[in-house]
Amino acid sequence: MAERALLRELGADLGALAARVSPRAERRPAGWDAEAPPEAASPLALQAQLDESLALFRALRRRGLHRHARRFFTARWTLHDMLGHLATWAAEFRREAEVASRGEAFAEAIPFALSVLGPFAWNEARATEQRGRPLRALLAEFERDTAALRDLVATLPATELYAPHELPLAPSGDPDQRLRGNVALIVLGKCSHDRYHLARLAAWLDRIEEEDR
Amino acid sequence: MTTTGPASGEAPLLRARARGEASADAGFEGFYGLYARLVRAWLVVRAGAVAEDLAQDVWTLFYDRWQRWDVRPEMLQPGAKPVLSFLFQSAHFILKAHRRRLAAAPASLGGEAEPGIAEPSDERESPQRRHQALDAGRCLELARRILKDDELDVLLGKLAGLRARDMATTLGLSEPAVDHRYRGALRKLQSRLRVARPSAKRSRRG
Repeated sequence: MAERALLRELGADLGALAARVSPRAERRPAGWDAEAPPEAASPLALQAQLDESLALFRALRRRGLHRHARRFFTARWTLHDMLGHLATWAAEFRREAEVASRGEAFAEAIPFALSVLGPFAWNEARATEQRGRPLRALLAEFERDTAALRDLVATLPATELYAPHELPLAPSGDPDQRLRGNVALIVLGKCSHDRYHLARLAAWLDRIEEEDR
Repeated sequence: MTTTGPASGEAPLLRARARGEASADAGFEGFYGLYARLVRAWLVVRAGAVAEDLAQDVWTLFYDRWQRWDVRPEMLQPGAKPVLSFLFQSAHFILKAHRRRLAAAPASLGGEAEPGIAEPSDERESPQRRHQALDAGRCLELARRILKDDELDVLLGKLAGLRARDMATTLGLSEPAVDHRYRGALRKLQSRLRVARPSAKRSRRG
């Protein structure tokens, strides 16, 4: 069969299937309350967002990060530091999810500085630790810990995914006043954190690659 | 032939969002109207009976992301389909997650086979009848049966009008590799259809 004819038939098949499966498309998916739409926190949605983190990260890796590792990404941090930050938080989010899923308590708190930028002092301390480590180790750790968190979510029953838990983060700065959440919230926080940084990293790479040309 | 809705595409909805001319909800409704059937069709081909449930998760993901969607200039370029690309990504990962959970705990999750769309017709049919069945709307079922997962994903994306760059990150492939998978998928289908239609070949010679 000629390619054009094949594509025409495949397209027709897909179009016919689309018309058949949803002859009267709902305005919204079934059971959706317009005032309180469901959050993207179902077991499948959580895994999908973790897979998205991995996909974005791997796309970044394919651009050859080693040659830019010592360039400054921000005023204080190089690309190496930034990737170390991602690896640090991949490990931390994984640890928190594992501890919470076992119903155990967190012995330590991570106080925030009073800003929207996250736990500043904690981040700086971890960045110093990561600075001397090989880049390939940091990259491997991000992938390993993100995949492990995804696989944990895949196996947890809903009761453990959404069970309330006191988490290490202390947004007010007071270590005795910690965030209450659950494993699902940990995953959403991680994915949001990853997307934020990975988007900025991709834009930064676009810019410096354009400048280097 | 693509099933992506009106020729005007995504740009009007994206532009309205960027300019604050439409609410997030109005934009969501617009994209839902544009792509709901296509997303369900993708999932029916890939997951069969559970497509409806999986589609719910896909649209929830998009609804959540759309609230904070940053409309960048490249998204408004001709041919760009950033929302369809996101829906393709979401469907791909939701399907993977579904299979992963089934593999992890099939009994507790009520796992069952994914029958997909109808199986080919009765084996007692004449070869000619089977050939006609393959030609008359069964190309997609053939694709589902003989293509590898990534080849089928690429084919479904291309049929919907996505470019290699729209699928590459999701599939973990370079853009040339996406196109390579696509060409490989078409060659497989053509090869199988050639085998299924020897009489057509003879008639062309005669």
